[in-house]
Amino acid sequence: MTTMTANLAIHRLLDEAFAGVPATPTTQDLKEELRASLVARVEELEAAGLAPDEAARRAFAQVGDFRSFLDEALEDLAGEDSPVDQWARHRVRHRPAFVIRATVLPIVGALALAASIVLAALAPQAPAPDALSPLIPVLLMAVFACCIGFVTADSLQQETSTSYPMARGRAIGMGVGLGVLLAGAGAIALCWAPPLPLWLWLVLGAVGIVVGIAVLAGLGAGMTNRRKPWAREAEQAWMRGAEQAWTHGAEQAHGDGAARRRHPGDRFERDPNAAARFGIYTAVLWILAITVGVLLGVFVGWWWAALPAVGAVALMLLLLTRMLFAPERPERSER
Amino acid sequence: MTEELGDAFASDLLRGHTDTIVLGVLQRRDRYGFEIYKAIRDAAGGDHEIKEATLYAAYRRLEKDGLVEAYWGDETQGGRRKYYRITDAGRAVFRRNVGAWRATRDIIDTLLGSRD
Repeated sequence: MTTMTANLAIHRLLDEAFAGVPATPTTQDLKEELRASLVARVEELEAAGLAPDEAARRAFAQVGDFRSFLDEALEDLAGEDSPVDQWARHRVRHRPAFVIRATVLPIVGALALAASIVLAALAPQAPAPDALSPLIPVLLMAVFACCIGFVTADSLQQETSTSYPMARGRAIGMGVGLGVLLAGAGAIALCWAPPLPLWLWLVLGAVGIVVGIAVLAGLGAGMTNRRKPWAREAEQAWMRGAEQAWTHGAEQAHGDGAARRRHPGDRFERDPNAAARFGIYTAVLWILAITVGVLLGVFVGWWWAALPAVGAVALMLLLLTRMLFAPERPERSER
Repeated sequence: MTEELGDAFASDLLRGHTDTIVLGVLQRRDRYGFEIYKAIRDAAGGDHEIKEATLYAAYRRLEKDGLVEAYWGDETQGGRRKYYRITDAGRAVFRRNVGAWRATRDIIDTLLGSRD
């Protein structure tokens, strides 16, 4: 640990070095970052036997000339050419093999899903001629989940014009997570069909859905940037332009108060609380839909079990439209 | 004299690949500025170093390009440390740069007749 004298010396030297530098978030960040580095460096030098003042001075000298890049960081670097030109220059074409995989596999998956549901629905009317038949809808559902999971992992590992490929482990994890989630949903869709009893289908389905969501949420939470530098710059330039346009338009329409309130982006970006409310409403809606679906299935008939899910999808879309695109009401003072 | 020129050559080469070296150091775990500097200094065996000021310029550049992400640590004593985490974009660029370096090294080895 550094001594009090060394800490004071670091503080003084940093203040001297940053004298005359405008106190912006960038320069304050840099000052704090340098302080942590100097403290660690002084600890080393003090451990080697240097006096606190001398250790602080030497640590500062060892860092080198940071004023040049400090000035550089303060400069506002404007883009050199338009986003359209940049896109043309950075364009990445997909490999034909990937395009074929990404086209064929979803079709195979969709056909397997349709065949699985049709065969499972026909099973009670036409008893299985042999022991293998009841497994066919299950296998077809697994084919559907595997196809979609594979296409997801495959797509995330592709470089695009604007993004680098996702790290292999994470991409495979996302594919597996989605595959397990779909397999769980598939198990619930097949719950009336042999060879398993109803309760086991429902348990397996619920476990698959929960595990799939957990995997996707865990991987999603640790996601880092994949955007390419040119795409980020173009995006930021566009956002700056859009913000200026908004501010200008809002100033003309409503005066300064409205200009500060209005920002580009959808409502969920501007108001995270609204996004959180939407998430909670959706969770409640689906819990109710699943409960009603199971009750209908048990007491009325499993053909009716999907009805609440259809209603829930419609309600969720209405809720999304209402919450995401709701017109902003003018404040009373501005009326 | 020849040794000094060799040192300058090696230091120039190191400096020329600062961004890739920083990405390489961050491959295994998140680190803060001085830790990255120490990792490079230790790996170079103390013979060569990249000045910390040069590294700070590299951190800014890498952060601006989205190749690393920065976050503040929760230290209560001393200075608060700013940690850097490599992003997926950073890993992709690192892999690409390492490939380019290997290809270039092979060409130079061939041209200089220094291939084993």
